[in-house]
Amino acid sequence: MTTSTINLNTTAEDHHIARMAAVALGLTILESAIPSPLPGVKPGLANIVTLIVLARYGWRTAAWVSLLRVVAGSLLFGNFLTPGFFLSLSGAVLSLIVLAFARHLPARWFGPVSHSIYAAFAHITGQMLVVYLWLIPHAGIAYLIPIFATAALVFGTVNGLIAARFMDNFKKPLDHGIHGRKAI
Amino acid sequence: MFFIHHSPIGNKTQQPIDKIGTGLAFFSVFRVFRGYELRLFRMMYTAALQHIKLGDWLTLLLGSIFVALLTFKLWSGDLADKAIIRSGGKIFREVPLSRDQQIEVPGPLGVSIISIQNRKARIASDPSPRQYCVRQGWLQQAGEIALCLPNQVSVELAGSRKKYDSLNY
Repeated sequence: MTTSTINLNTTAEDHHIARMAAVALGLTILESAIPSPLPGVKPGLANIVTLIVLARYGWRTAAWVSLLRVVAGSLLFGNFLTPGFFLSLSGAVLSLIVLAFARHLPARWFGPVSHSIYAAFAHITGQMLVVYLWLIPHAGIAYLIPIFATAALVFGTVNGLIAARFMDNFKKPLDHGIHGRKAI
Repeated sequence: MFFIHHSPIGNKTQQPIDKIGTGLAFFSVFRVFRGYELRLFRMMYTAALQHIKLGDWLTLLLGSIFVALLTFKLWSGDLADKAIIRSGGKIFREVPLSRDQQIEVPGPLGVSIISIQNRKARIASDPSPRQYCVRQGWLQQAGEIALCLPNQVSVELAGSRKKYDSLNY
Protein backbone atom coordinates (compact mmCIF):
# COMPACT_ATOMS: atom_id res chain seq x y z
CA MET A 1 0.00 0.00 0.00
CA THR A 2 1.56 3.24 -1.04
CA THR A 3 1.59 6.01 1.49
CA SER A 4 0.15 9.27 0.29
CA THR A 5 1.76 12.46 1.33
CA ILE A 6 0.21 15.87 1.41
CA ASN A 7 2.66 18.54 0.36
CA LEU A 8 2.06 21.98 1.73
CA ASN A 9 4.13 24.38 -0.29
CA THR A 10 5.22 27.03 2.15
CA THR A 11 7.00 30.16 1.11
CA ALA A 12 9.67 31.96 3.06
CA GLU A 13 7.09 34.56 4.01
CA ASP A 14 4.97 31.86 5.62
CA HIS A 15 7.95 30.78 7.68
CA HIS A 16 8.61 34.35 8.66
CA ILE A 17 5.04 34.99 9.79
CA ALA A 18 4.98 31.70 11.66
CA ARG A 19 8.21 32.56 13.45
CA MET A 20 6.85 35.91 14.61
CA ALA A 21 3.56 34.38 15.65
CA ALA A 22 5.56 31.87 17.70
CA VAL A 23 7.36 34.72 19.47
CA ALA A 24 4.02 36.33 20.25
CA LEU A 25 2.76 32.98 21.51
CA GLY A 26 5.76 32.65 23.79
CA LEU A 27 4.99 36.06 25.24
CA THR A 28 1.39 34.99 25.80
CA ILE A 29 2.54 31.97 27.74
CA LEU A 30 4.91 34.14 29.77
CA GLU A 31 2.06 36.49 30.53
CA SER A 32 -0.16 33.70 31.81
CA ALA A 33 2.27 33.33 34.69
CA ILE A 34 1.55 36.89 35.84
CA PRO A 35 -1.47 37.01 38.17
CA SER A 36 -4.07 39.61 37.36
CA PRO A 37 -6.42 41.22 39.88
CA LEU A 38 -9.40 41.07 37.55
CA PRO A 39 -10.05 38.69 34.65
CA GLY A 40 -9.42 40.64 31.51
CA VAL A 41 -6.86 43.04 32.94
CA LYS A 42 -3.66 41.72 31.45
CA PRO A 43 -0.45 43.43 30.28
CA GLY A 44 -0.98 42.20 26.71
CA LEU A 45 2.71 41.59 26.11
CA ALA A 46 2.09 39.76 22.83
CA ASN A 47 0.88 43.00 21.32
CA ILE A 48 4.47 44.24 21.40
CA VAL A 49 5.18 41.78 18.58
CA THR A 50 2.13 43.00 16.67
CA LEU A 51 3.31 46.60 16.98
CA ILE A 52 6.83 45.82 15.80
CA VAL A 53 5.54 43.77 12.89
CA LEU A 54 3.13 46.55 11.94
CA ALA A 55 5.88 49.14 11.93
CA ARG A 56 8.34 47.02 9.97
CA TYR A 57 6.39 44.73 7.65
CA GLY A 58 2.99 46.32 7.20
CA TRP A 59 -0.55 45.73 8.25
CA ARG A 60 -1.28 42.44 6.47
CA THR A 61 1.64 40.70 8.13
CA ALA A 62 0.65 42.14 11.50
CA ALA A 63 -2.93 40.92 11.00
CA TRP A 64 -1.67 37.43 10.16
CA VAL A 65 0.61 37.36 13.21
CA SER A 66 -2.06 38.68 15.55
CA LEU A 67 -4.87 36.38 14.47
CA LEU A 68 -2.58 33.36 14.30
CA ARG A 69 -1.46 34.13 17.81
CA VAL A 70 -5.06 34.33 19.09
CA VAL A 71 -6.10 31.04 17.48
CA ALA A 72 -2.92 29.13 18.28
CA GLY A 73 -2.86 30.49 21.82
CA SER A 74 -6.41 29.38 22.40
CA LEU A 75 -5.60 25.90 21.09
CA LEU A 76 -2.55 25.78 23.33
CA PHE A 77 -4.39 26.78 26.47
CA GLY A 78 -7.47 24.73 25.64
CA ASN A 79 -9.62 27.82 25.25
CA PHE A 80 -10.67 27.35 21.63
CA LEU A 81 -14.26 28.51 20.99
CA THR A 82 -14.79 29.32 24.67
CA PRO A 83 -16.11 32.77 25.64
CA GLY A 84 -12.54 33.77 26.48
CA PHE A 85 -11.47 32.94 22.94
CA PHE A 86 -14.20 35.12 21.46
CA LEU A 87 -13.20 37.95 23.78
CA SER A 88 -9.61 37.66 22.60
CA LEU A 89 -10.68 37.43 18.99
CA SER A 90 -13.01 40.41 19.12
CA GLY A 91 -10.35 42.49 20.84
CA ALA A 92 -7.74 41.49 18.28
CA VAL A 93 -10.02 42.14 15.29
CA LEU A 94 -11.12 45.57 16.46
CA SER A 95 -7.60 46.62 17.39
CA LEU A 96 -6.39 45.52 13.95
CA ILE A 97 -9.12 47.60 12.30
CA VAL A 98 -8.08 50.63 14.34
CA LEU A 99 -4.40 50.00 13.52
CA ALA A 100 -5.30 49.95 9.82
CA PHE A 101 -6.33 53.58 10.24
CA ALA A 102 -3.71 54.55 12.82
CA ARG A 103 -0.78 53.50 10.68
CA HIS A 104 -1.59 56.39 8.32
CA LEU A 105 -0.81 58.92 11.03
CA PRO A 106 2.40 60.82 10.18
CA ALA A 107 5.30 58.79 11.50
CA ARG A 108 7.23 61.91 12.38
CA TRP A 109 4.92 62.67 15.27
CA PHE A 110 3.14 59.43 16.06
CA GLY A 111 5.24 56.48 17.07
CA PRO A 112 4.40 52.98 18.30
CA VAL A 113 3.21 54.43 21.61
CA SER A 114 0.23 56.07 19.89
CA HIS A 115 -0.54 52.97 17.86
CA SER A 116 -0.39 50.92 21.03
CA ILE A 117 -2.75 53.19 22.95
CA TYR A 118 -5.31 53.33 20.15
CA ALA A 119 -5.12 49.59 19.67
CA ALA A 120 -5.48 48.98 23.41
CA PHE A 121 -8.62 51.09 23.63
CA ALA A 122 -10.02 49.39 20.55
CA HIS A 123 -9.22 46.05 22.17
CA ILE A 124 -11.22 46.74 25.32
CA THR A 125 -14.03 48.24 23.24
CA GLY A 126 -14.29 45.04 21.22
CA GLN A 127 -14.27 42.97 24.38
CA MET A 128 -16.89 45.13 26.09
CA LEU A 129 -19.13 44.89 23.03
CA VAL A 130 -18.95 41.08 23.02
CA VAL A 131 -19.55 41.01 26.76
CA TYR A 132 -22.54 43.33 26.62
CA LEU A 133 -24.16 41.95 23.48
CA TRP A 134 -23.65 38.28 24.22
CA LEU A 135 -22.17 37.21 27.53
CA ILE A 136 -23.50 39.56 30.21
CA PRO A 137 -26.25 41.81 28.75
CA HIS A 138 -26.39 43.77 31.94
CA ALA A 139 -25.77 47.44 32.54
CA GLY A 140 -23.72 46.55 35.61
CA ILE A 141 -20.63 46.06 33.49
CA ALA A 142 -20.54 49.84 33.18
CA TYR A 143 -18.79 49.76 36.55
CA LEU A 144 -15.94 47.77 35.01
CA ILE A 145 -15.32 50.09 32.07
CA PRO A 146 -13.19 52.65 33.97
CA ILE A 147 -10.93 49.90 35.29
CA PHE A 148 -10.39 48.44 31.84
CA ALA A 149 -9.87 51.89 30.34
CA THR A 150 -7.18 52.73 32.90
CA ALA A 151 -5.48 49.39 32.32
CA ALA A 152 -5.65 49.95 28.55
CA LEU A 153 -4.02 53.37 28.88
CA VAL A 154 -1.26 52.20 31.23
CA PHE A 155 -0.40 48.93 29.57
CA GLY A 156 -0.84 50.43 26.11
CA THR A 157 1.80 53.02 26.94
CA VAL A 158 4.17 50.45 28.45
CA ASN A 159 3.84 48.10 25.49
CA GLY A 160 4.36 50.97 23.06
CA LEU A 161 7.52 52.02 24.88
CA ILE A 162 8.88 48.49 24.86
CA ALA A 163 8.12 48.14 21.15
CA ALA A 164 9.81 51.49 20.43
CA ARG A 165 12.85 50.40 22.43
CA PHE A 166 13.12 47.17 20.44
CA MET A 167 12.88 49.07 17.19
CA ASP A 168 15.76 51.33 18.16
CA ASN A 169 18.23 48.87 16.71
CA PHE A 170 16.52 48.86 13.32
CA LYS A 171 16.29 52.48 12.35
CA LYS A 172 16.81 51.95 8.60
CA PRO A 173 13.79 50.73 6.61
CA LEU A 174 14.15 47.09 5.63
CA ASP A 175 13.46 45.97 2.08
CA HIS A 176 14.42 42.30 1.84
CA GLY A 177 14.27 41.45 5.49
CA ILE A 178 11.86 38.57 4.87
CA HIS A 179 14.36 36.59 2.84
CA GLY A 180 17.34 37.55 4.99
CA ARG A 181 18.50 35.86 8.10
CA LYS A 182 17.22 38.27 10.68
CA ALA A 183 16.01 37.33 14.13
CA ILE A 184 12.54 38.79 13.74
CA MET B 1 -18.41 45.18 45.43
CA PHE B 2 -20.72 47.40 43.41
CA PHE B 3 -22.96 48.47 46.27
CA ILE B 4 -21.70 51.27 48.41
CA HIS B 5 -23.27 51.02 51.82
CA HIS B 6 -23.28 54.21 53.80
CA SER B 7 -22.74 53.10 57.37
CA PRO B 8 -24.24 55.33 60.03
CA ILE B 9 -20.96 55.30 62.00
CA GLY B 10 -18.32 57.60 60.48
CA ASN B 11 -14.61 56.87 60.04
CA LYS B 12 -12.59 56.51 63.22
CA THR B 13 -10.11 59.30 63.81
CA GLN B 14 -6.52 58.59 62.74
CA GLN B 15 -4.40 57.51 65.68
CA PRO B 16 -1.02 59.19 66.29
CA ILE B 17 0.71 55.83 65.83
CA ASP B 18 -0.56 55.73 62.23
CA LYS B 19 1.07 59.06 61.46
CA ILE B 20 4.40 57.89 62.92
CA GLY B 21 4.23 54.65 60.93
CA THR B 22 3.58 56.47 57.64
CA GLY B 23 6.46 58.82 58.29
CA LEU B 24 8.83 55.94 59.03
CA ALA B 25 7.79 54.15 55.84
CA PHE B 26 8.47 57.21 53.66
CA PHE B 27 11.82 57.84 55.37
CA SER B 28 13.01 54.25 54.91
CA VAL B 29 12.04 54.24 51.22
CA PHE B 30 13.97 57.47 50.73
CA ARG B 31 17.06 55.96 52.41
CA VAL B 32 17.01 52.87 50.17
CA PHE B 33 16.61 54.81 46.93
CA ARG B 34 19.29 57.36 47.51
CA GLY B 35 22.11 55.45 45.93
CA TYR B 36 22.52 53.60 42.68
CA GLU B 37 18.84 52.89 42.39
CA LEU B 38 18.01 56.53 41.81
CA ARG B 39 20.45 56.79 38.89
CA LEU B 40 19.01 53.63 37.40
CA PHE B 41 15.49 54.94 37.62
CA ARG B 42 16.58 58.21 36.04
CA MET B 43 18.24 56.32 33.18
CA MET B 44 15.15 54.23 32.57
CA TYR B 45 12.97 57.30 32.78
CA THR B 46 14.94 59.29 30.16
CA ALA B 47 15.25 56.21 27.94
CA ALA B 48 11.50 55.93 27.98
CA LEU B 49 10.88 59.61 27.38
CA GLN B 50 12.96 59.81 24.21
CA HIS B 51 10.59 57.38 22.49
CA ILE B 52 7.51 59.46 23.12
CA LYS B 53 7.10 61.87 20.25
CA LEU B 54 4.89 64.93 20.11
CA GLY B 55 1.86 63.15 18.69
CA ASP B 56 2.29 60.47 21.32
CA TRP B 57 1.95 63.06 24.06
CA LEU B 58 -1.25 64.21 22.38
CA THR B 59 -2.55 60.65 22.33
CA LEU B 60 -1.62 60.21 25.97
CA LEU B 61 -3.43 63.41 26.86
CA LEU B 62 -6.53 62.43 24.91
CA GLY B 63 -6.46 58.98 26.46
CA SER B 64 -6.14 60.37 29.99
CA ILE B 65 -9.01 62.78 29.42
CA PHE B 66 -11.11 59.94 28.03
CA VAL B 67 -10.37 57.71 31.02
CA ALA B 68 -11.10 60.54 33.45
CA LEU B 69 -14.43 61.27 31.72
CA LEU B 70 -15.41 57.62 31.82
CA THR B 71 -14.54 57.33 35.49
CA PHE B 72 -16.39 60.51 36.34
CA LYS B 73 -19.49 59.56 34.39
CA LEU B 74 -19.77 55.91 35.33
CA TRP B 75 -18.58 55.97 38.93
CA SER B 76 -20.32 59.14 40.03
CA GLY B 77 -23.12 57.28 41.75
CA ASP B 78 -25.78 58.28 39.26
CA LEU B 79 -26.10 54.72 38.07
CA ALA B 80 -29.16 53.04 39.48
CA ASP B 81 -28.11 50.40 41.99
CA LYS B 82 -31.18 49.35 43.85
CA ALA B 83 -34.95 49.59 43.79
CA ILE B 84 -36.65 50.89 46.92
CA ILE B 85 -40.13 49.41 47.25
CA ARG B 86 -42.49 51.23 49.56
CA SER B 87 -45.86 50.00 50.81
CA GLY B 88 -48.18 52.15 52.85
CA GLY B 89 -45.58 54.89 53.10
CA LYS B 90 -42.91 52.72 54.73
CA ILE B 91 -40.02 51.03 52.97
CA PHE B 92 -41.10 47.49 52.22
CA ARG B 93 -37.81 46.24 50.77
CA GLU B 94 -34.64 47.50 49.13
CA VAL B 95 -33.76 45.22 46.28
CA PRO B 96 -30.50 45.28 44.28
CA LEU B 97 -30.93 45.50 40.52
CA SER B 98 -28.19 43.00 39.79
CA ARG B 99 -30.43 39.95 39.87
CA ASP B 100 -33.59 39.37 37.84
CA GLN B 101 -36.49 38.74 40.19
CA GLN B 102 -40.16 39.31 40.83
CA ILE B 103 -41.42 40.70 44.11
CA GLU B 104 -45.02 40.61 45.30
CA VAL B 105 -46.02 43.52 47.48
CA PRO B 106 -49.29 43.29 49.43
CA GLY B 107 -51.46 46.37 49.70
CA PRO B 108 -55.02 47.34 50.71
CA LEU B 109 -56.39 46.53 47.24
CA GLY B 110 -54.39 43.40 46.55
CA VAL B 111 -50.96 42.31 45.47
CA SER B 112 -48.73 44.41 43.19
CA ILE B 113 -46.05 42.51 41.36
CA ILE B 114 -42.80 44.36 40.74
CA SER B 115 -40.45 42.77 38.25
CA ILE B 116 -36.75 43.51 37.97
CA GLN B 117 -35.08 42.49 34.76
CA ASN B 118 -31.83 43.50 33.05
CA ARG B 119 -31.17 46.15 35.65
CA LYS B 120 -34.53 47.80 35.01
CA ALA B 121 -37.63 47.71 37.19
CA ARG B 122 -41.32 48.05 36.51
CA ILE B 123 -44.62 47.38 38.16
CA ALA B 124 -45.81 44.36 36.22
CA SER B 125 -49.32 44.14 37.60
CA ASP B 126 -51.37 46.07 40.06
CA PRO B 127 -55.02 45.92 41.19
CA SER B 128 -55.65 49.63 40.68
CA PRO B 129 -58.51 50.77 38.40
CA ARG B 130 -56.59 53.07 36.06
CA GLN B 131 -53.23 51.21 35.99
CA TYR B 132 -51.14 54.38 35.88
CA CYS B 133 -48.17 52.73 37.53
CA VAL B 134 -48.22 49.76 35.16
CA ARG B 135 -48.39 52.12 32.19
CA GLN B 136 -45.31 53.92 33.51
CA GLY B 137 -43.28 51.13 32.03
CA TRP B 138 -39.64 50.35 32.67
CA LEU B 139 -37.72 52.50 35.12
CA GLN B 140 -34.09 52.70 34.18
CA GLN B 141 -32.32 55.73 35.62
CA ALA B 142 -31.69 56.62 39.22
CA GLY B 143 -34.44 58.77 40.64
CA GLU B 144 -37.22 57.40 38.44
CA ILE B 145 -40.29 56.36 40.38
CA ALA B 146 -43.60 54.63 39.71
CA LEU B 147 -46.50 55.08 42.12
CA CYS B 148 -49.63 53.02 42.64
CA LEU B 149 -51.64 55.37 44.79
CA PRO B 150 -54.75 53.18 45.19
CA ASN B 151 -52.69 50.25 46.41
CA GLN B 152 -50.17 52.50 48.20
CA VAL B 153 -47.20 50.82 46.53
CA SER B 154 -44.27 52.63 44.94
CA VAL B 155 -40.97 51.61 43.45
CA GLU B 156 -38.09 54.02 43.10
CA LEU B 157 -34.68 53.46 41.58
CA ALA B 158 -31.80 54.80 43.63
CA GLY B 159 -28.08 55.08 43.04
CA SER B 160 -25.41 55.62 45.62
CA ARG B 161 -26.11 59.34 45.60
CA LYS B 162 -29.48 60.83 46.47
CA LYS B 163 -31.01 62.52 43.46
CA TYR B 164 -33.74 64.62 45.08
CA ASP B 165 -33.66 66.21 48.48
CA SER B 166 -37.25 65.28 49.21
CA LEU B 167 -40.30 64.13 47.35
CA ASN B 168 -43.85 64.73 48.41
CA TYR B 169 -46.78 63.04 46.86
